[in-house]
Amino acid sequence: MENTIVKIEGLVKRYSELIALDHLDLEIKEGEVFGLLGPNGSGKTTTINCLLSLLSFDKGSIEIFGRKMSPTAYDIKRDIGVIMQNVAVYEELSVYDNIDYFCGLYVKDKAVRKQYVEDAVKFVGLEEFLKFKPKKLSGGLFRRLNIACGIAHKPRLIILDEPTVAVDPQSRNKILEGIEELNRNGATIIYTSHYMEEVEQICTRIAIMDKGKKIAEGTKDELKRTIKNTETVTIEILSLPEKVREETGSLPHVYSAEYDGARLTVRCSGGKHNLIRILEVLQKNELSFGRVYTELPTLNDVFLEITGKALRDKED
Amino acid sequence: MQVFKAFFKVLRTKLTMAMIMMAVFIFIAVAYARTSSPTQKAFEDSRLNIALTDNDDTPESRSLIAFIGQKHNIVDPDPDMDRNIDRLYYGHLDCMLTIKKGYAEALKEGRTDDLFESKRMHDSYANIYILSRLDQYVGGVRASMLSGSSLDEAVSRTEELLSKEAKVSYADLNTRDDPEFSRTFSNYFQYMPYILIASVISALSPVLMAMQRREIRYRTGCSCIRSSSYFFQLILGSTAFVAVLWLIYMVVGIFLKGGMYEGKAWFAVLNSLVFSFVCTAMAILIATLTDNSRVVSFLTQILSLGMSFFCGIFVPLSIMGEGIKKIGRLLPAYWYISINDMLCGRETLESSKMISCFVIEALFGIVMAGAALVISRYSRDRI
Ligand SMILES: Nc1ncnc2c1ncn2[C@@H]1O[C@H](COP(=O)(O)OP(=O)(O)OP(=O)(O)O)[C@@H](O)[C@H]1O
Ligand SMILES: [Mg+2]
Repeated sequence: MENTIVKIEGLVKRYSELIALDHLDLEIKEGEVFGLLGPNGSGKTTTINCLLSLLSFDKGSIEIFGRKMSPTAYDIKRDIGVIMQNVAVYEELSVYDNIDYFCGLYVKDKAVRKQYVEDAVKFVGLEEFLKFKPKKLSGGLFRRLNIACGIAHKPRLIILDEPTVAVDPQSRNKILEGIEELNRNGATIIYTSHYMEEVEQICTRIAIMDKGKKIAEGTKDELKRTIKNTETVTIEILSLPEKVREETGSLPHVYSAEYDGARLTVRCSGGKHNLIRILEVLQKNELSFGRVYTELPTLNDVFLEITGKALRDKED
Repeated sequence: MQVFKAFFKVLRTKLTMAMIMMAVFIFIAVAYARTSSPTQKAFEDSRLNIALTDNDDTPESRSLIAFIGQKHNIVDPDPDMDRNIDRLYYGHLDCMLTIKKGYAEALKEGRTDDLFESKRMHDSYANIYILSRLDQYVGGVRASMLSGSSLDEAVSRTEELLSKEAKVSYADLNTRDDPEFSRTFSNYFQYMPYILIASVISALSPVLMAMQRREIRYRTGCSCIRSSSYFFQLILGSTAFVAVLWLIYMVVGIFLKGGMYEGKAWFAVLNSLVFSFVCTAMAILIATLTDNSRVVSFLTQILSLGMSFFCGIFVPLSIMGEGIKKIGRLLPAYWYISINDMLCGRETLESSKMISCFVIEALFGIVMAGAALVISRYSRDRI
């Protein structure tokens, strides 16, 4: 039986008029990589800050490691590693001193701490930058320093709030691999992001948030099974008479056909040979088309279907 | 003692500026103490060549230029910036000063920060001296305006006060010189609050702000260090640092006097120690109130300049009007100066009066430290 590490029940947080969290429930088990996915402003950071008792909240309860969380629950905080969305390091201290400082807030023993700091440095690959001031690091390395400061004390629960924002793809991969490794070494992970690809890649369970509410939860496959979409067919086509779009839309298993002037997007639910049937319609009407591709559902489709809007803008 | 250690590591990165400031202030303080017409005389021979640009072009800015012109040579800047830089480099020009647009407006609204822009090659004493002179000037205008004068009156009153200052010090020469508390000495201690505020603010505030940045505060808040322990270590670090600063100033005092303190002088030493404590508490309070560096620079400007003017540091209390003194009483430096005035014989020395001055001065520090403690304790959710 897996242990529950985090239990949030009926959490409500208001910022005067705005309801940032609306009766949020979350349960996170030991060993999970739990993803909190949601668009900008959906309340991910607020959830994390409440969880850590940095913010007070209006209603609800929060338990971590089976104990009630509070600002003075230092024995709980000891086992939590936090990587904040806004990088929290001292500009004035070197890379090494920063990691040592934050590790030292948890680990008093000097010899142990030295070892821990070295482990953390190796883990994020900052060996060559120990004497650097944070300002001199590139965006990716800067984020990695932030991570090293959060995990150096070898916590049981690691919370990462959008650790890959503004990071180049190479550093991003390194960070994601690192998180998986931490998880393999026994840490439970909470990971927030608005990048669904990342969440799909590393998370074992995912909660999708919108406007302070949890709108879906499960493994990525479970989530995708909850929606009717099973396949999205996209066809590049220069002009499409309305009659043909309607005809495509009335094919069996097709539940939506949209044309934006350049692409026909057809969403299907179950069934086989959907693509062939769609193409037959186009050929019958003697329409020529360009590239054709089909996609399996993504978390974006899950979000789209539940909320009626895209998880994030395409160019983001 | 992780936080305490980090405090000094951060402090080390901010120390160069603080050292320069300190050297300059000690120099000015010593000059101020030694010469009969304080400071002016030290720089009398070196009329500075100042290239002045007046972007404001109001009666107020022109009045300021006339004031600067009494003591220095004002030249027009070259339209070609490179030529100016050359002139600065070769020392034909000591500094370039720009009165920013909106100078008069700002004075009217009581703002004293960000009024000037200055360019200089070397942080020479003379250069910093002229800047501190500008501080005195705008601080004085602000002080007079706060006590009810119009801008015109404030400007003329400040100019009058600043030129009177020389004569008053001269008059002081006639009072009998006390071997325990010479005039040199009392001048040095009179200038001390300004030095203390300026050096505490220029070195301590940036460190505290770095330690209290929101991200860092949040991050520290999730760790398992107690907030009281964190705060305690910050206070310990600040106190240790200010204590060292204070000791340096006291040692300089010994050199000035030419021997160990004796008799009454110990009260002056105690007085400056209490005031150091007040400055520390003030810096900590400001740092807990805000982490916005603009707000901090605004507050510190008001406090250091305001205090220096209202409380008789720049200009003796004896020649100040009742209105200004009334406001001065609300500030800790007023009580510091009152004690100093008693010690040097400007006022009659009564032990009961002196004790109450000490108590009031210390109370300021205690109240500010207490407020900082309470605010930091209840500042969860402060965004
Ligand atoms: N201090 C605050 N005062 C008022 N409103 C706030 C405050 N902090 C956050 N909010 C609002 O609460 C909502 C949730 O914000 P939150 O930062 O939790 O979102 P998020 O999911 O972390 O977004 P992002 O992806 O941009 O980090 C937003 O609408 C935000 O504007
Ligand atoms: Mg966020």
